[in-house]
Amino acid sequence: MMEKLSLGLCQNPNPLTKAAFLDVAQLLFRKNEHARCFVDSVVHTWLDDLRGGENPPMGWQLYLEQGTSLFLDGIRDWNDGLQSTPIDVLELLLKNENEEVVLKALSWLNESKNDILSNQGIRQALRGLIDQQRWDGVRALALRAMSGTVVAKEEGIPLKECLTAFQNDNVMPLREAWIVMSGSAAKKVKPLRWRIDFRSA
Amino acid sequence: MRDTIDEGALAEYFETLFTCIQPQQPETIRLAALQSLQAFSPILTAAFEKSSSTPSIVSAAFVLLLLLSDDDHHIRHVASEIVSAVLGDFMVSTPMAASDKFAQAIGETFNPQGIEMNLIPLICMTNVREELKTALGTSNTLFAKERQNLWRDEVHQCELYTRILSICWSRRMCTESSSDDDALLDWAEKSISEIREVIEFNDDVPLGWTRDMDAFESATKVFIIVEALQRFGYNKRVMMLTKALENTMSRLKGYEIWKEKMEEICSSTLQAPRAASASETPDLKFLKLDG
Repeated sequence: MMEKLSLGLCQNPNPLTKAAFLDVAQLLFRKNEHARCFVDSVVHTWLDDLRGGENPPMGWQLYLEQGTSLFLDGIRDWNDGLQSTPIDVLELLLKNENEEVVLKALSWLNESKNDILSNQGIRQALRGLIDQQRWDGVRALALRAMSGTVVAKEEGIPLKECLTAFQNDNVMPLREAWIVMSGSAAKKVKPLRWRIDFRSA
Repeated sequence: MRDTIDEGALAEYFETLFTCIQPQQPETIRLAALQSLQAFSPILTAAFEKSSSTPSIVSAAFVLLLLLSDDDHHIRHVASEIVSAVLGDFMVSTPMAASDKFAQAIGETFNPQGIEMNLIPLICMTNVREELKTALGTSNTLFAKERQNLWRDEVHQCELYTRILSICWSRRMCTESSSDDDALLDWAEKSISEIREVIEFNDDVPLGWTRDMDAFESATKVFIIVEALQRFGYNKRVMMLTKALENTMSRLKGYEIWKEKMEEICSSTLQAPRAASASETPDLKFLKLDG
Protein backbone atom coordinates (compact mmCIF):
# COMPACT_ATOMS: atom_id res chain seq x y z
CA MET A 1 0.00 0.00 0.00
CA MET A 2 2.83 2.36 0.84
CA GLU A 3 4.45 1.72 -2.54
CA LYS A 4 1.19 2.47 -4.30
CA LEU A 5 0.71 5.66 -2.38
CA SER A 6 4.24 6.82 -3.21
CA LEU A 7 3.76 5.90 -6.86
CA GLY A 8 0.54 7.88 -6.87
CA LEU A 9 2.44 10.87 -5.55
CA CYS A 10 5.39 10.57 -7.98
CA GLN A 11 3.36 9.97 -11.10
CA ASN A 12 0.55 12.38 -10.42
CA PRO A 13 1.12 15.55 -12.49
CA ASN A 14 -1.33 17.66 -10.52
CA PRO A 15 0.52 19.81 -7.98
CA LEU A 16 -2.61 20.29 -5.89
CA THR A 17 -2.83 16.54 -5.44
CA LYS A 18 0.81 16.44 -4.43
CA ALA A 19 0.08 19.23 -1.97
CA ALA A 20 -2.72 17.15 -0.50
CA PHE A 21 -0.28 14.30 0.06
CA LEU A 22 1.96 16.67 1.96
CA ASP A 23 -0.97 17.72 4.11
CA VAL A 24 -1.54 14.12 5.07
CA ALA A 25 2.16 13.57 5.66
CA GLN A 26 2.31 16.57 8.00
CA LEU A 27 -0.63 15.27 10.00
CA LEU A 28 0.80 11.79 10.30
CA PHE A 29 4.25 13.01 11.10
CA ARG A 30 3.09 14.74 14.23
CA LYS A 31 0.84 11.97 15.54
CA ASN A 32 2.16 8.61 14.57
CA GLU A 33 5.76 7.45 14.68
CA HIS A 34 4.86 4.44 12.56
CA ALA A 35 4.00 6.70 9.67
CA ARG A 36 7.62 7.85 9.49
CA CYS A 37 8.46 5.81 6.43
CA PHE A 38 5.47 7.29 4.63
CA VAL A 39 6.62 10.76 5.53
CA ASP A 40 10.14 10.01 4.33
CA SER A 41 8.78 8.82 0.98
CA VAL A 42 6.76 11.96 0.55
CA VAL A 43 9.67 14.20 1.54
CA HIS A 44 11.96 12.30 -0.82
CA THR A 45 9.59 12.99 -3.72
CA TRP A 46 9.28 16.61 -2.73
CA LEU A 47 13.07 16.97 -2.65
CA ASP A 48 13.34 15.56 -6.15
CA ASP A 49 10.74 18.06 -7.34
CA LEU A 50 12.53 20.89 -5.56
CA ARG A 51 15.83 20.06 -7.24
CA GLY A 52 14.06 19.78 -10.57
CA GLY A 53 13.64 23.53 -10.48
CA GLU A 54 10.26 23.53 -12.17
CA ASN A 55 8.17 26.54 -11.50
CA PRO A 56 4.72 26.25 -13.06
CA PRO A 57 1.96 28.46 -11.68
CA MET A 58 -0.22 28.53 -8.58
CA GLY A 59 -0.56 24.93 -7.40
CA TRP A 60 3.15 24.27 -7.64
CA GLN A 61 3.88 27.18 -5.34
CA LEU A 62 1.51 25.83 -2.71
CA TYR A 63 3.15 22.42 -2.99
CA LEU A 64 6.62 23.92 -2.51
CA GLU A 65 5.49 26.03 0.44
CA GLN A 66 3.85 23.10 2.20
CA GLY A 67 6.88 20.96 1.61
CA THR A 68 9.06 23.70 3.06
CA SER A 69 6.94 23.83 6.23
CA LEU A 70 7.10 20.05 6.58
CA PHE A 71 10.85 20.03 6.09
CA LEU A 72 11.52 22.83 8.58
CA ASP A 73 9.25 21.29 11.22
CA GLY A 74 11.02 17.95 10.93
CA ILE A 75 14.58 19.11 10.43
CA ARG A 76 15.72 17.93 13.84
CA ASP A 77 14.58 14.37 13.08
CA TRP A 78 16.12 14.33 9.63
CA ASN A 79 16.46 10.86 8.13
CA ASP A 80 20.08 10.38 7.12
CA GLY A 81 18.89 7.82 4.58
CA LEU A 82 17.59 10.65 2.41
CA GLN A 83 20.19 11.71 -0.13
CA SER A 84 20.52 15.32 0.86
CA THR A 85 21.64 16.84 4.17
CA PRO A 86 19.46 19.46 5.90
CA ILE A 87 22.03 22.13 5.03
CA ASP A 88 21.89 21.25 1.32
CA VAL A 89 18.11 21.50 1.38
CA LEU A 90 18.21 24.82 3.25
CA GLU A 91 20.54 26.20 0.59
CA LEU A 92 18.11 25.10 -2.11
CA LEU A 93 15.26 26.78 -0.27
CA LEU A 94 17.19 30.03 0.10
CA LYS A 95 17.94 30.04 -3.62
CA ASN A 96 14.38 29.25 -4.66
CA GLU A 97 12.48 31.79 -6.72
CA ASN A 98 9.34 31.40 -4.65
CA GLU A 99 9.43 34.24 -2.14
CA GLU A 100 7.23 32.49 0.40
CA VAL A 101 9.61 29.53 0.47
CA VAL A 102 12.56 31.84 1.01
CA LEU A 103 10.72 33.71 3.78
CA LYS A 104 9.88 30.50 5.61
CA ALA A 105 13.50 29.38 5.46
CA LEU A 106 14.75 32.79 6.65
CA SER A 107 12.25 32.94 9.52
CA TRP A 108 13.36 29.50 10.64
CA LEU A 109 17.03 30.50 10.47
CA ASN A 110 16.38 33.61 12.56
CA GLU A 111 14.45 31.68 15.18
CA SER A 112 16.71 28.64 15.42
CA LYS A 113 20.02 30.46 16.09
CA ASN A 114 22.11 27.35 15.67
CA ASP A 115 25.41 26.40 14.05
CA ILE A 116 23.85 25.99 10.61
CA LEU A 117 24.41 29.73 10.11
CA SER A 118 28.18 29.29 10.22
CA ASN A 119 28.06 27.06 7.12
CA GLN A 120 29.70 28.84 4.21
CA GLY A 121 27.10 27.74 1.67
CA ILE A 122 24.31 29.13 3.82
CA ARG A 123 26.19 32.40 4.31
CA GLN A 124 26.78 32.73 0.59
CA ALA A 125 23.11 32.10 -0.08
CA LEU A 126 22.21 34.77 2.50
CA ARG A 127 24.66 37.20 0.95
CA GLY A 128 23.10 36.50 -2.43
CA LEU A 129 19.68 37.40 -1.07
CA ILE A 130 21.00 40.67 0.37
CA ASP A 131 22.66 41.68 -2.89
CA GLN A 132 19.76 40.76 -5.18
CA GLN A 133 16.82 42.99 -5.94
CA ARG A 134 14.45 40.99 -3.77
CA TRP A 135 11.61 42.22 -1.66
CA ASP A 136 12.77 44.37 1.28
CA GLY A 137 11.37 41.92 3.81
CA VAL A 138 13.52 39.12 2.37
CA ARG A 139 16.64 41.27 2.44
CA ALA A 140 15.92 42.40 6.01
CA LEU A 141 15.49 38.83 7.28
CA ALA A 142 18.62 37.70 5.43
CA LEU A 143 20.62 40.52 7.06
CA ARG A 144 19.29 39.60 10.49
CA ALA A 145 20.19 35.94 9.98
CA MET A 146 23.67 36.86 8.81
CA SER A 147 24.29 39.23 11.71
CA GLY A 148 23.72 36.41 14.20
CA THR A 149 26.51 34.22 12.82
CA VAL A 150 29.91 33.58 14.28
CA VAL A 151 32.36 34.49 11.57
CA ALA A 152 34.82 31.68 11.16
CA LYS A 153 36.51 33.11 8.07
CA GLU A 154 37.16 36.65 6.98
CA GLU A 155 34.01 37.48 5.11
CA GLY A 156 30.96 39.57 5.57
CA ILE A 157 29.80 43.08 4.90
CA PRO A 158 32.18 45.93 5.80
CA LEU A 159 31.07 48.37 8.48
CA LYS A 160 31.18 51.36 6.17
CA GLU A 161 28.85 49.61 3.71
CA CYS A 162 26.40 48.80 6.52
CA LEU A 163 26.34 52.40 7.72
CA THR A 164 25.90 53.79 4.20
CA ALA A 165 23.06 51.38 3.51
CA PHE A 166 21.44 52.36 6.82
CA GLN A 167 21.53 56.03 5.82
CA ASN A 168 20.23 55.41 2.30
CA ASP A 169 17.48 52.85 2.89
CA ASN A 170 14.10 54.33 3.75
CA VAL A 171 12.32 51.09 4.57
CA MET A 172 12.13 50.61 8.33
CA PRO A 173 12.77 46.82 8.57
CA LEU A 174 15.83 47.21 6.33
CA ARG A 175 17.20 50.13 8.34
CA GLU A 176 16.81 48.08 11.51
CA ALA A 177 18.51 45.08 9.91
CA TRP A 178 21.43 47.21 8.70
CA ILE A 179 22.02 48.67 12.14
CA VAL A 180 21.95 45.18 13.68
CA MET A 181 24.39 43.98 11.01
CA SER A 182 26.67 46.94 11.82
CA GLY A 183 27.30 45.49 15.27
CA SER A 184 28.77 42.31 13.80
CA ALA A 185 30.72 44.31 11.22
CA ALA A 186 32.12 46.66 13.88
CA LYS A 187 33.65 43.68 15.70
CA LYS A 188 36.02 43.18 12.77
CA VAL A 189 37.24 46.76 12.71
CA LYS A 190 40.50 47.43 14.52
CA PRO A 191 41.23 51.03 15.43
CA LEU A 192 44.80 52.19 15.05
CA ARG A 193 45.52 52.26 18.79
CA TRP A 194 43.80 48.98 19.56
CA ARG A 195 46.19 46.77 21.52
CA ILE A 196 43.80 44.13 22.68
CA ASP A 197 43.75 40.69 21.15
CA PHE A 198 40.09 40.05 20.48
CA ARG A 199 40.52 36.70 18.80
CA SER A 200 39.24 35.02 21.91
CA ALA A 201 36.35 37.49 22.32
CA MET B 1 39.11 40.46 3.60
CA ARG B 2 41.61 41.58 6.25
CA ASP B 3 40.56 43.39 9.37
CA THR B 4 40.29 47.05 8.51
CA ILE B 5 41.96 49.80 10.49
CA ASP B 6 39.31 52.48 10.52
CA GLU B 7 38.61 54.50 13.62
CA GLY B 8 36.49 56.86 11.58
CA ALA B 9 34.05 54.07 10.70
CA LEU B 10 33.86 53.00 14.34
CA ALA B 11 33.22 56.56 15.47
CA GLU B 12 30.49 56.90 12.84
CA TYR B 13 28.97 53.61 14.02
CA PHE B 14 28.72 54.79 17.61
CA GLU B 15 27.34 58.15 16.53
CA THR B 16 24.69 56.29 14.55
CA LEU B 17 23.89 54.11 17.55
CA PHE B 18 23.59 57.20 19.74
CA THR B 19 21.12 58.74 17.28
CA CYS B 20 19.11 55.52 17.11
CA ILE B 21 18.62 55.23 20.88
CA GLN B 22 17.16 58.71 21.34
CA PRO B 23 13.65 58.68 22.91
CA GLN B 24 12.00 60.16 19.81
CA GLN B 25 13.11 57.19 17.68
CA PRO B 26 10.60 54.34 17.20
CA GLU B 27 10.95 51.45 19.60
CA THR B 28 11.95 49.06 16.77
CA ILE B 29 14.94 51.25 15.87
CA ARG B 30 16.03 51.51 19.50
CA LEU B 31 15.72 47.74 19.86
CA ALA B 32 17.75 47.20 16.69
CA ALA B 33 20.46 49.50 18.10
CA LEU B 34 20.47 47.42 21.29
CA GLN B 35 20.80 44.20 19.28
CA SER B 36 23.63 45.76 17.33
CA LEU B 37 25.42 46.65 20.55
CA GLN B 38 24.75 43.14 21.82
CA ALA B 39 26.56 41.74 18.77
CA PHE B 40 29.45 44.11 19.50
CA SER B 41 29.49 43.40 23.25
CA PRO B 42 32.32 40.80 23.28
CA ILE B 43 34.65 43.66 22.33
CA LEU B 44 33.27 45.72 25.23
CA THR B 45 33.76 42.77 27.58
CA ALA B 46 37.39 42.45 26.55
CA ALA B 47 37.88 46.22 26.97
CA PHE B 48 36.66 46.03 30.58
CA GLU B 49 38.81 42.98 31.29
CA LYS B 50 41.97 44.55 29.91
CA SER B 51 41.22 48.07 31.21
CA SER B 52 42.39 49.63 27.99
CA SER B 53 40.36 51.47 25.43
CA THR B 54 40.07 53.90 22.63
CA PRO B 55 37.61 56.79 22.97
CA SER B 56 35.29 55.04 20.51
CA ILE B 57 34.93 52.04 22.81
CA VAL B 58 34.03 54.38 25.67
CA SER B 59 31.24 55.69 23.40
CA ALA B 60 29.82 52.16 23.28
CA ALA B 61 29.77 52.04 27.07
CA PHE B 62 27.78 55.29 27.28
CA VAL B 63 25.28 54.08 24.68
CA LEU B 64 24.71 51.00 26.84
CA LEU B 65 24.39 53.16 29.96
CA LEU B 66 21.64 55.17 28.27
CA LEU B 67 19.82 52.04 27.13
CA LEU B 68 19.56 50.92 30.77
CA SER B 69 17.08 53.78 31.25
CA ASP B 70 15.17 53.35 27.99
CA ASP B 71 11.42 53.80 28.09
CA ASP B 72 10.77 50.22 26.97
CA HIS B 73 10.91 47.47 29.61
CA HIS B 74 12.26 44.80 27.24
CA ILE B 75 15.10 47.05 26.07
CA ARG B 76 16.07 47.85 29.67
CA HIS B 77 16.04 44.18 30.59
CA VAL B 78 18.22 43.12 27.64
CA ALA B 79 20.58 46.02 28.36
CA SER B 80 20.89 44.73 31.96
CA GLU B 81 21.75 41.28 30.62
CA ILE B 82 24.44 42.75 28.39
CA VAL B 83 25.89 44.72 31.30
CA SER B 84 26.04 41.63 33.51
CA ALA B 85 27.82 39.75 30.71
CA VAL B 86 30.24 42.62 30.08
CA LEU B 87 31.10 42.98 33.78
CA GLY B 88 31.29 39.23 34.30
CA ASP B 89 28.48 39.10 36.89
CA PHE B 90 26.73 35.82 37.59
CA MET B 91 23.36 37.41 38.13
CA VAL B 92 21.47 39.93 36.06
CA SER B 93 20.72 43.08 38.04
CA THR B 94 17.70 45.33 37.75
CA PRO B 95 18.22 48.18 35.27
CA MET B 96 18.74 50.76 38.05
CA ALA B 97 21.24 48.59 39.92
CA ALA B 98 22.97 47.81 36.63
CA SER B 99 23.22 51.56 35.90
CA ASP B 100 24.92 52.23 39.21
CA LYS B 101 27.32 49.33 38.83
CA PHE B 102 28.11 50.13 35.20
CA ALA B 103 28.72 53.83 35.88
CA GLN B 104 31.19 52.89 38.62
CA ALA B 105 32.92 50.43 36.30
CA ILE B 106 33.20 52.99 33.49
CA GLY B 107 34.79 55.55 35.81
CA GLU B 108 37.27 53.02 37.18
CA THR B 109 38.20 51.28 33.93
CA PHE B 110 38.67 53.67 31.07
CA ASN B 111 41.14 56.45 30.45
CA PRO B 112 39.83 59.68 32.10
CA GLN B 113 40.51 61.67 28.95
CA GLY B 114 38.44 59.27 26.86
CA ILE B 115 35.63 59.41 29.41
CA GLU B 116 35.60 63.22 29.46
CA MET B 117 35.62 63.35 25.66
CA ASN B 118 32.38 61.39 25.63
CA LEU B 119 30.66 62.47 28.85
CA ILE B 120 31.12 66.24 28.87
CA PRO B 121 29.40 66.76 25.49
CA LEU B 122 26.56 64.58 26.79
CA ILE B 123 26.09 66.83 29.83
CA CYS B 124 26.46 69.99 27.78
CA MET B 125 23.64 68.90 25.46
CA THR B 126 21.22 70.19 28.12
CA ASN B 127 20.04 73.60 26.98
CA VAL B 128 18.95 75.13 30.26
CA ARG B 129 17.56 78.33 28.75
CA GLU B 130 15.28 76.52 26.33
CA GLU B 131 14.11 74.01 28.91
CA LEU B 132 13.29 76.69 31.49
CA LYS B 133 11.55 78.94 28.96
CA THR B 134 9.44 76.04 27.72
CA ALA B 135 8.63 74.85 31.24
CA LEU B 136 7.88 78.26 32.77
CA GLY B 137 6.36 79.96 29.76
CA THR B 138 2.63 80.15 29.04
CA SER B 139 1.08 77.63 26.73
CA ASN B 140 -2.07 77.73 24.63
CA THR B 141 -2.38 73.96 24.28
CA LEU B 142 -5.10 72.21 26.22
CA PHE B 143 -3.09 69.16 27.18
CA ALA B 144 0.47 68.96 28.40
CA LYS B 145 2.84 67.19 26.05
CA GLU B 146 3.99 63.92 27.51
CA ARG B 147 7.72 63.35 27.46
CA GLN B 148 9.06 60.63 25.20
CA ASN B 149 10.80 58.71 27.94
CA LEU B 150 8.65 58.41 31.05
CA TRP B 151 10.98 55.98 32.77
CA ARG B 152 14.24 57.91 32.86
CA ASP B 153 14.91 59.99 35.96
CA GLU B 154 17.03 62.80 34.52
CA VAL B 155 18.31 63.83 37.95
CA HIS B 156 19.47 60.27 38.71
CA GLN B 157 21.09 60.14 35.27
CA CYS B 158 22.98 63.35 36.04
CA GLU B 159 24.07 61.85 39.36
CA LEU B 160 25.52 58.88 37.48
CA TYR B 161 27.43 61.22 35.15
CA THR B 162 28.75 63.20 38.12
CA ARG B 163 29.86 60.01 39.82
CA ILE B 164 31.79 59.00 36.71
CA LEU B 165 33.39 62.45 36.49
CA SER B 166 34.25 62.39 40.19
CA ILE B 167 36.05 59.08 39.78
CA CYS B 168 37.88 60.44 36.73
CA TRP B 169 38.97 63.60 38.48
CA SER B 170 40.10 61.65 41.55
CA ARG B 171 42.21 59.44 39.30
CA ARG B 172 43.66 62.53 37.61
CA MET B 173 44.55 63.98 41.02
CA CYS B 174 46.40 60.78 41.87
CA THR B 175 48.44 61.10 38.70
CA GLU B 176 48.74 64.89 39.11
CA SER B 177 47.26 65.51 35.72
CA SER B 178 44.44 67.89 34.92
CA SER B 179 41.90 68.36 32.26
CA ASP B 180 42.46 71.01 29.62
CA ASP B 181 38.84 70.96 28.62
CA ASP B 182 36.85 73.97 29.89
CA ALA B 183 33.65 72.95 28.13
CA LEU B 184 31.97 71.84 31.35
CA LEU B 185 32.98 75.01 33.18
CA ASP B 186 31.70 77.11 30.29
CA TRP B 187 28.42 75.19 30.31
CA ALA B 188 28.03 75.59 34.09
CA GLU B 189 28.71 79.35 33.87
CA LYS B 190 26.32 79.79 30.98
CA SER B 191 23.60 77.71 32.66
CA ILE B 192 23.76 79.62 35.95
CA SER B 193 23.53 82.91 34.03
CA GLU B 194 20.58 81.57 32.06
CA ILE B 195 18.75 80.47 35.22
CA ARG B 196 19.22 83.94 36.65
CA GLU B 197 18.10 85.58 33.42
CA VAL B 198 14.92 83.52 33.24
CA ILE B 199 13.88 84.11 36.84
CA GLU B 200 14.71 87.84 36.60
CA PHE B 201 12.23 88.20 33.77
CA ASN B 202 9.66 85.89 35.23
CA ASP B 203 6.97 87.80 37.09
CA ASP B 204 6.20 85.03 39.46
CA VAL B 205 8.51 83.83 42.23
CA PRO B 206 10.42 80.72 41.19
CA LEU B 207 7.96 78.42 42.94
CA GLY B 208 7.16 76.85 39.60
CA TRP B 209 10.46 75.05 39.73
CA THR B 210 9.31 72.67 42.41
CA ARG B 211 5.98 72.07 40.66
CA ASP B 212 7.15 71.78 37.12
CA MET B 213 9.25 68.65 36.57
CA ASP B 214 11.17 69.91 33.55
CA ALA B 215 12.19 73.16 35.23
CA PHE B 216 13.06 71.32 38.44
CA GLU B 217 15.26 68.85 36.59
CA SER B 218 17.03 71.51 34.53
CA ALA B 219 17.95 73.57 37.59
CA THR B 220 18.89 70.54 39.70
CA LYS B 221 21.23 69.21 37.02
CA VAL B 222 23.06 72.52 36.95
CA PHE B 223 23.45 72.54 40.75
CA ILE B 224 24.70 68.94 40.77
CA ILE B 225 27.41 69.80 38.25
CA VAL B 226 28.33 73.05 40.02
CA GLU B 227 28.70 71.20 43.31
CA ALA B 228 30.96 68.60 41.68
CA LEU B 229 33.07 71.31 40.05
CA GLN B 230 33.36 73.08 43.40
CA ARG B 231 34.39 69.87 45.17
CA PHE B 232 37.29 69.33 42.81
CA GLY B 233 38.56 72.86 42.92
CA TYR B 234 37.06 74.21 39.71
CA ASN B 235 35.21 76.83 41.71
CA LYS B 236 36.77 80.18 40.92
CA ARG B 237 34.96 80.86 37.71
CA VAL B 238 31.49 79.76 38.83
CA MET B 239 31.57 81.13 42.40
CA MET B 240 30.69 84.69 41.48
CA LEU B 241 27.83 83.63 39.26
CA THR B 242 26.48 81.27 41.91
CA LYS B 243 26.59 84.07 44.49
CA ALA B 244 24.78 86.43 42.12
CA LEU B 245 22.10 83.79 41.57
CA GLU B 246 21.72 83.36 45.33
CA ASN B 247 21.18 87.09 45.74
CA THR B 248 18.57 87.11 43.00
CA MET B 249 16.75 84.16 44.56
CA SER B 250 16.71 85.93 47.94
CA ARG B 251 15.46 89.18 46.43
CA LEU B 252 12.66 87.44 44.57
CA LYS B 253 11.78 85.40 47.65
CA GLY B 254 12.59 82.14 45.99
CA TYR B 255 11.61 78.79 47.45
CA GLU B 256 13.47 78.16 50.70
CA ILE B 257 15.19 74.91 49.73
CA TRP B 258 16.81 76.53 46.68
CA LYS B 259 18.09 79.36 48.82
CA GLU B 260 19.56 76.91 51.31
CA LYS B 261 21.28 74.98 48.58
CA MET B 262 22.71 78.14 47.07
CA GLU B 263 24.03 79.24 50.47
CA GLU B 264 25.57 75.81 51.00
CA ILE B 265 27.36 75.88 47.65
CA CYS B 266 28.56 79.45 48.13
CA SER B 267 29.79 78.90 51.68
CA SER B 268 31.64 75.76 50.59
CA THR B 269 33.51 77.64 47.90
CA LEU B 270 34.94 80.02 50.49
CA GLN B 271 36.82 77.16 52.13
CA ALA B 272 40.10 75.78 50.78
CA PRO B 273 39.48 73.16 48.08
CA ARG B 274 39.79 69.67 49.46
CA ALA B 275 40.58 66.36 47.79
CA ALA B 276 37.25 64.56 47.53
CA SER B 277 36.94 60.80 47.47
CA ALA B 278 35.66 59.06 44.36
CA SER B 279 32.71 57.63 46.26
CA GLU B 280 31.21 60.99 47.19
CA THR B 281 28.14 62.04 45.32
CA PRO B 282 26.26 65.31 45.67
CA ASP B 283 23.93 65.55 48.67
CA LEU B 284 20.44 65.79 47.28
CA LYS B 285 18.54 65.31 50.54
CA PHE B 286 17.38 68.92 50.33
CA LEU B 287 15.51 68.06 47.15
CA LYS B 288 13.39 65.31 48.69
CA LEU B 289 10.18 67.13 49.57
CA ASP B 290 7.92 65.94 52.36
CA GLY B 291 4.52 64.59 51.45
